[in-house]
Amino acid sequence: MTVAVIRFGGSNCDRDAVRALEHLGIDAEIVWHKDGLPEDPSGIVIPGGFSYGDYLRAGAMAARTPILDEVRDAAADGTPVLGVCNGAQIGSEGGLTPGAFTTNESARFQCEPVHLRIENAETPWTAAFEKGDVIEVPIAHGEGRFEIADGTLAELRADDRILFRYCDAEGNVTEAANPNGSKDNVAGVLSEDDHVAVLMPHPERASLPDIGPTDGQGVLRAFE
Amino acid sequence: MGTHPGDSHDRLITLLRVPLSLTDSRVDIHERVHWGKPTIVFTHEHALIDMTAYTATVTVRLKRGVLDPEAETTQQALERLGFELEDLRSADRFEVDLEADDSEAAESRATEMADRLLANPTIHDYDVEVTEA
Repeated sequence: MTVAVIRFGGSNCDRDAVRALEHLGIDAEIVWHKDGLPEDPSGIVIPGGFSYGDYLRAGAMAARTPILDEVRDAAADGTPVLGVCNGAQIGSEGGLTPGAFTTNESARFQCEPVHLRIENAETPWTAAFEKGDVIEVPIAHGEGRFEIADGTLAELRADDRILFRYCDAEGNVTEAANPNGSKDNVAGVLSEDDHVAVLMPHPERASLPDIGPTDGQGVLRAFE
Repeated sequence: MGTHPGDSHDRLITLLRVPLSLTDSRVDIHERVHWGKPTIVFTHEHALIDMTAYTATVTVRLKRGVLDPEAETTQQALERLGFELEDLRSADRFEVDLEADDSEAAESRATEMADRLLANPTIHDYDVEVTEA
C-alpha cells in the first residue's frame, strides 16, 4: 500500500512530500498525472508548487485534468486525500473542498513560518493533536487568502470542518497573526466527509528533524 | 502518388470546409498543393455547414465585497502618479471566437465555459456578450 503523490508540470513539493512520508515509515511514490492513479493507493497527496504556471488562477488548470476525476472517485471510496498549498488550491478549484484560495491581502508572495491552532482534533488529519494545540509550519504562497461566502463559512463551523486557523504562538486567533487576509483566519478545511483535507501551510516542510520543527508530522500521520 | 516536382497538374490533397464570413455565401477552401506551393481556391458550390462566426466576450470580475489587493495596489500607483480617483476595480476579459447555429447557442456555450473554468463561483461574477464576428 503506497501513498500516491501526484506530480503536475510545475509541482515542486512532490519530492519533499515523499521524503517526509518515508521518514515516518509510510510508503510513497510520485505519480505523473497523465499516467493516472495506481490501483488502490493507500492515500493521495496533491503537493505544492505552481502547476500550469498558476495560469488563470492558481490550481485552475490542474483541477480540470482527468486525474482529478480519479481523485474524486477515490476520495468518495474513502481514500484519504491531502492537498497542500497548490494542492489546496487545486482541491478547492476542483470542488473537493469548499471556498477558494486567492491573492494574498499583501498582493505579495509570502514565505514565512506561521502558527496554526487545531480547531478539530477528531479527524484523521488532526488525530495526533489535541483541540487547541498550536503547531508551527511554514507557508510559501502568493494566493492563499481563504475566501468563502458567509453562509457557507457558518455551515463549515457548524459541521466542525475548519481544521486549522492562523494564530499567534499562544494560540490567539488575531488579525495580526493572519498572514494573508484569510477569512476568519482559516488555513485549512475538510471535505464533507473527512476524506479530503486541504491547507495552505506545508506540513511536509516541517517533518524532518534535520531541518527544523517537526509539527507537520502529525498531519501526515493520517496516512499511517 | 506519381506526382513529382515539375508535374504539370496539381494534386488535390485536402478539402477543408471552413466557413468564412467574407460574403453572405459560405465559402469552402480547396487547398491544392503544387509541391510545396500551396494555393487556395475559393469555390461557392458547397454550403454544407450553416454556422455563423461569433465572438463571445466573457467578463469575469470579483464579487462585490471580495478584496482585490492588485487593484488596490494599482490605485495607489495611479495616485502616486498624481491622478485623482475614487475607486478602481479590475476584471478579466476573455474573447472567445466560436461558430454556432445562432447567437443564443453561442451565448450558452460561452456561459458554460465561464461556469466550468473561466470564473470561480466562490469569488467571481461574470457576464457574457455575443457579437457576430
